[in-house]
Amino acid sequence: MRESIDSKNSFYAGWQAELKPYSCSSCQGVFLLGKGVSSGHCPFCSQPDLSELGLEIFEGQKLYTNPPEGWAKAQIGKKDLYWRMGEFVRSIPFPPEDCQVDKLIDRMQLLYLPGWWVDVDIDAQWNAEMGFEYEVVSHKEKFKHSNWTTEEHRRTLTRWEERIGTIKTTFHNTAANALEKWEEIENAIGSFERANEEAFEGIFDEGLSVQIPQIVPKQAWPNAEVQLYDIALQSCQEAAEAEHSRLFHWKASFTNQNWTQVLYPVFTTYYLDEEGNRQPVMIHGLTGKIYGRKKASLTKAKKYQIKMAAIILGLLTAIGLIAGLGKHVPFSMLLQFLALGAVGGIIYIVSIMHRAKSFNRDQPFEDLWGSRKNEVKY
Amino acid sequence: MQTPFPPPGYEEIPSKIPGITVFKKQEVLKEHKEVVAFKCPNCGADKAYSAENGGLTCTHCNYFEAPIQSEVSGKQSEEFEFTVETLERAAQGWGTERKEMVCNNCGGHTVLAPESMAQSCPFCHSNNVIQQKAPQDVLRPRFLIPLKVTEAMVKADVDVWLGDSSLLPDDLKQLVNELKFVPMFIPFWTFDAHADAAWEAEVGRTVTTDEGTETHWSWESGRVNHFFDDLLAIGSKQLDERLLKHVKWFNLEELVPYQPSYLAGMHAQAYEIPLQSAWQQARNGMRKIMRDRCYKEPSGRQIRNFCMNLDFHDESWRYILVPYWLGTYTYEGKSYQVIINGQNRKIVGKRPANWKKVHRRALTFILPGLLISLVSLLPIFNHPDVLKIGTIVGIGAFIIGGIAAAFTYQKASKLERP
Repeated sequence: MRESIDSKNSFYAGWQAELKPYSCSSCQGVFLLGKGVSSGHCPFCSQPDLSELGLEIFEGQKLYTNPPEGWAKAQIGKKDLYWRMGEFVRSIPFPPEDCQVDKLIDRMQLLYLPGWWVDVDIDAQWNAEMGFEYEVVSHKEKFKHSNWTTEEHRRTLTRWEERIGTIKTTFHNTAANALEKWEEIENAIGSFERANEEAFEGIFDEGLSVQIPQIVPKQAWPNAEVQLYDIALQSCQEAAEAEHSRLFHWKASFTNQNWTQVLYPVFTTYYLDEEGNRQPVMIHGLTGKIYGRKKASLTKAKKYQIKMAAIILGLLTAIGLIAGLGKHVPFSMLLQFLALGAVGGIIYIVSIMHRAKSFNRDQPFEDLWGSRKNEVKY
Repeated sequence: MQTPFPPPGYEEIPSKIPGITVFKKQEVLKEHKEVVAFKCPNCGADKAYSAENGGLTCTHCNYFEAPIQSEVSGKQSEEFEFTVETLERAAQGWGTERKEMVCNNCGGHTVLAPESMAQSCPFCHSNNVIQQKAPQDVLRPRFLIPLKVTEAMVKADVDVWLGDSSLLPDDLKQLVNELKFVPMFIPFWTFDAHADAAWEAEVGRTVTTDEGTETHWSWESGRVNHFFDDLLAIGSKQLDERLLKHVKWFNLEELVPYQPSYLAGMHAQAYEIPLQSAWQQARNGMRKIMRDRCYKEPSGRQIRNFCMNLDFHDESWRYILVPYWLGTYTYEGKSYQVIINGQNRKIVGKRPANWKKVHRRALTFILPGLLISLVSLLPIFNHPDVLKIGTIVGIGAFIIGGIAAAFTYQKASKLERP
């Protein structure tokens, strides 16, 4: 462990790059930033709460700064990013002034998030009830015009039988969380599979940033054990050639744990809402799925209301004058038409603000980027 | 100490994944003997099942073996579902694999009917139970009703039965008393099913108006549910169905698990009517019952355009053997079958009527009325009142006599066609 990090010893041999550790007080993440990366805001939550760590210790724990065994390089090109950002902006009614595609792209950063994969030898005894589907024949009868017609149909039922057995094998590539918010990240932008990775050859681009694992292997093991249980259940069901399973129990011992750290790419950026708060946006670096906080601008909605009110008023006045001067339309009919138009216009104008407010109110609660501090609640 | 794995009673089955083993509970496979012989350990003669005490008795030295300690499974006896596999296997029947039996006792060869399950050797009369392998394990008989009626009871019942009608020939009793009744196990299927019926019909109501009566029609609908419990359908083609319906009822609470000992010394038959045909038959009966029930539901009795949808679910079946005593006799060149229920002693059979007796009796009923009418017409009774009274009494007596004669003919017909 380094006792202190400064410009003289910021070179990480394993990464073959000059990196500095930073922590964010907003999302509690710890990052290694390359010297080409701006430290003005957090690469994960985009808040300006980043501070440099003088030591490789955070919250009393030594930082896990080992380089990964593998990484998946980003597969989304710039054109694709533009298109996806455009979709994102268009999905917000009355987006704030700062929420523009060019600005979002300019601020975009490539961040690598860590994940654990573990291979482990298992020696276990298991028991479960396995469900085997079978078909039964049933009949429907119809009586009409003194005649019976029979229709045979089949139903699928499940027969449950006890099975027991042993497992003596190696389970490969069981996922375990390296970040506390990993499940929220996967719920937001989708899961990361092992299919796209390549071996990390020890050269990390200094223009990139990486988040350090918050959960080390020893702490990640309980999560891995849960995944292993699910894998064992599925495997035993498949081994027994059953269609269903229940009441699965096992007594297992695990040996030869082999942990692999893999880095996965995400693009992060942000826009400022009308209160000046940073609203983060994240894109899955392999699939392009986008997730971000969406905030409609009420100021913009108000301006739009005034504009529409002026247009409607102008239109009604013009129609009224033309119709009135031409004297082709009876006065009462013209009055009715203008009244209807006014009512319709008022309803439309009011709905503009309602749309903006209800959009903000209906945004789902998420805790992906930590607490929403400094925000006005709607 | 580590407990061994797998625990006793489990057998390994193939696993689809290397590194993972799979075990299942071992099925208790009873040793399948194709032929089970019943020899007396005392004298070597044959043992036979005794309906009196439920045990096995030697036919020669009266050696007695205690009854089989079988738990009565009753109506809780295992039932099976109509799985696709079972229906396909049941349709295959018993096949024609075994047609010949070699007697263990005398070495005699016998040709067996494919559905035969228990048979005495025609040469030495030794009792053998043949246990042919069923097309599927569920299609072997698993339950039966033990024989409760003894030969002595059969003789007594037949005696009573022959004495209950004066229209029978006088020499019939002697002929039937010499007849040998044979105990036989007949295959039956039992069926359970939930039936849900939704019916719809136009119901008419007659209304009287100033112009006359008219009928107003309106649509009505409803639902009827019923659970059919252990509906019996015969699995044999050997018995006369018209006779069988009178002795078909059995108390299924007395069902016991199948053991070959119950069949020792008797004939037994495996099913000839396959499961699907029997189920079709049973469903026909259920349809009729459900239709009749639905037909009673509408609020009026004038019904038209009646239709219904009937759904069956939770259908299950059982294959059982039930005991009968069977006898066949010939009288004046015609064959007559007698069947006695081996559990409740109900007896049914065809009997020839003595038609001379029948005609004589009918005449005896009709003649008085006829005679009175004719006598009242005689000139010596030349009185209007006598004529009037005589005619009335004569016609009345004739009508009554005619009805009595009709009853006599009906009774005589029933003897031959019960």
